[in-house]
Amino acid sequence: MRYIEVEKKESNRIEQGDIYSNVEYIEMISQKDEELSINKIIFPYVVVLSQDCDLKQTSPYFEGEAHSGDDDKKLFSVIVAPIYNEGLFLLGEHLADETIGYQMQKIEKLRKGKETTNYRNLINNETPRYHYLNFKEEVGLPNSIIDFKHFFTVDIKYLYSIKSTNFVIKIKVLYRESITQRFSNFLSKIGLP
Amino acid sequence: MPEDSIPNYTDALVKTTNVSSDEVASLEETPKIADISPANEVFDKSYVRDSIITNSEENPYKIKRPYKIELKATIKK
Repeated sequence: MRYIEVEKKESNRIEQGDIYSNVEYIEMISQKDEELSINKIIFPYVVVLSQDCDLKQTSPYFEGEAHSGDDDKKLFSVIVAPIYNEGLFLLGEHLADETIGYQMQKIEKLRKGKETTNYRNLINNETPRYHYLNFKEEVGLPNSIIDFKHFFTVDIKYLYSIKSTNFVIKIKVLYRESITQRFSNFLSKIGLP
Repeated sequence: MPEDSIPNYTDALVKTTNVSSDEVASLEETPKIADISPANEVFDKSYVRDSIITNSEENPYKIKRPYKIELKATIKK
């Protein structure tokens, strides 16, 4: 199983493959009479899936740099996907916090002392829904799983506002392209005649 | 819309999910590294490593999972 290569140096802008911690997803905003209710889900880690050229072209708008006169390249949001801890994921308990309460499918790791097919498919990235991240020890992150089905978008201004405090690492180019390519393949899984 | 009719939400935001006594109690239920049996293959090194790098003042089990919070605000007119 190949390690995923990462860099710890933060870029001036948001890049494809960046991993951020404690990212908020606005689940719902509702209003009843004079009371406003905002439900958020806090994801411990997310990875940026938006294409880097789009992120590069939009960055001058948010960094106060010179840009072309119009707003043609300005993005509203950034595509991200949550990253789940492997241990909890295998137990199906990665979304089992009492505030969410989802029981997900378990994936058995071993049977009769041997790795199961499901587990091998997961760690070899042969399960289209998931992408396994095998970090080196020195990275300081546990082995984790990206769940493409749970992707969401975050407001780009919000992501810039937390960038310097919540940046964790960035995944190197070849590996991040593999992730985004697998994500797009997962989204376009229905074939055409 | 006239400026003075825009409701001011931010002043009235109240975080309703401060750590409750139940949550504090759940800290004690969090598996400790020493409690994770090597025989239990599900709790492999990744989970242990995760626990080690997490600030011990917080609940590692909790903060490594997504969780939901609700904010309430009263709209000022």
